[in-house]
Amino acid sequence: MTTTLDNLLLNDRGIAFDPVSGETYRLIGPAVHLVRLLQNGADDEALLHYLLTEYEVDEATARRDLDVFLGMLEQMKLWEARS
Amino acid sequence: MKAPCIAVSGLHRGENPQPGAGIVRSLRRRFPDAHIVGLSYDVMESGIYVENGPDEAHLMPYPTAGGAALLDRIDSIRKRTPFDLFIPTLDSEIEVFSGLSDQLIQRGIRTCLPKVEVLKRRAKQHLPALVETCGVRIPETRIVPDLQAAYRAAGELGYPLVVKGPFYEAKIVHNMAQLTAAASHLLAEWGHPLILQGFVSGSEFNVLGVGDGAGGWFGHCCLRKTQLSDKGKGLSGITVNDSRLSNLCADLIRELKWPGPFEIELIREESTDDYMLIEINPRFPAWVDFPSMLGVNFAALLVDMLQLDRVPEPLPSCKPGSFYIRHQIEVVGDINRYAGLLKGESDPLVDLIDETLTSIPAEVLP
Repeated sequence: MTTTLDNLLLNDRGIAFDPVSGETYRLIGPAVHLVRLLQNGADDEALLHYLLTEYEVDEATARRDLDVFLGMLEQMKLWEARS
Repeated sequence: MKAPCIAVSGLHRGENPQPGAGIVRSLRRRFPDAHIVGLSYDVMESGIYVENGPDEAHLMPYPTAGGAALLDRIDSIRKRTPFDLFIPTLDSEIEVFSGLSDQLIQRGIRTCLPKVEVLKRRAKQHLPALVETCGVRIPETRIVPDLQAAYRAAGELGYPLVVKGPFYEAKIVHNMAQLTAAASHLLAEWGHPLILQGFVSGSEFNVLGVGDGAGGWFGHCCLRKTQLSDKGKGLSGITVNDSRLSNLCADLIRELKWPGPFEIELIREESTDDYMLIEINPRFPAWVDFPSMLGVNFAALLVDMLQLDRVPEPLPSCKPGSFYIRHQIEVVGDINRYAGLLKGESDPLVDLIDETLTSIPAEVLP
């Protein structure tokens, strides 16, 4: 299913633009890469793997932060959790 | 091919900018040799004085003076400069010129104006009937003739609500006292009816285009306003590409068989995500030069339509993600040009200067 996130235009400086709504977002830290991964169809485990590989963080913290991040995307109507 | 000679009105920029100065800029991009005649209603219209602005400017009587006065003035200007294309840009004059189409054609002046009945169908007070025919939503609306009826309508709609005049201005009011002040002002300024609408919370979108008069269009550009002035004017905007928005506007233009320039104003309601139609303007908007800077020149397309009497090539879409920011600068005027215009003479006519300067009463000088 195509979500708003799939259509986001994202640059390397973390500026994301939704060409349909005209909304602009600023992504910081790992969010840029996480959004890119989501746009390429990555699942939650792939996202978690990215966080554990790239950042010095334990799995429980990474999982919690990832849930918060995906929850924010859902709240902003940019993303729908896969069933 | 002969360079076009084009008259353009509404040249003021500033806090509440008119479209004419942007149109002149767009025309210059495509027709650098065009001779552009500015038709102004005030000598202080800033676009008269900008670099690369109109080649000459003339004062016009206000549209309220009526069709005969406007035509007389046009005849006298054309004795000096026989322009053959005319782009009117102000709602109030379009109303008058639309009823003068035959007289303009007889004079050899080509313009692109809707018929009076089509113009009427998109007027604010007639939008409820229009949207019934094409399934577009508008805020809950009441059309009222006076203050007492406005109070009753406000009781039905609840506060906050938006109160509008038939031509210009819209004010958000939160209580009866504010409604009284706003409605009294609008009635005094613009006459009746008053239009009262339920307040819709959401982002504002504008769609600019040129209709082909047969139900289609030669192109359109959608943008979201990203900054508003305290008068609700767009200080910045960004291009978007939403097929839902484009289709909705295409339905309206198809229904009206709209000829020529238009601007459709909508709000995307936060709670429902639906677009609500606010207004259809029968002219280019003040931001018309923005898409022209992106290579999508609506003013030039209109001249192609008028000049060549053939179907012009449709314009490409504007890529989403380009934005404009309104930027104010000072332009330099010369008292001599001001004087010439004030005397009803053509501008620039530098040889008039000494004579006119001495004839202007000091109190009318800026």
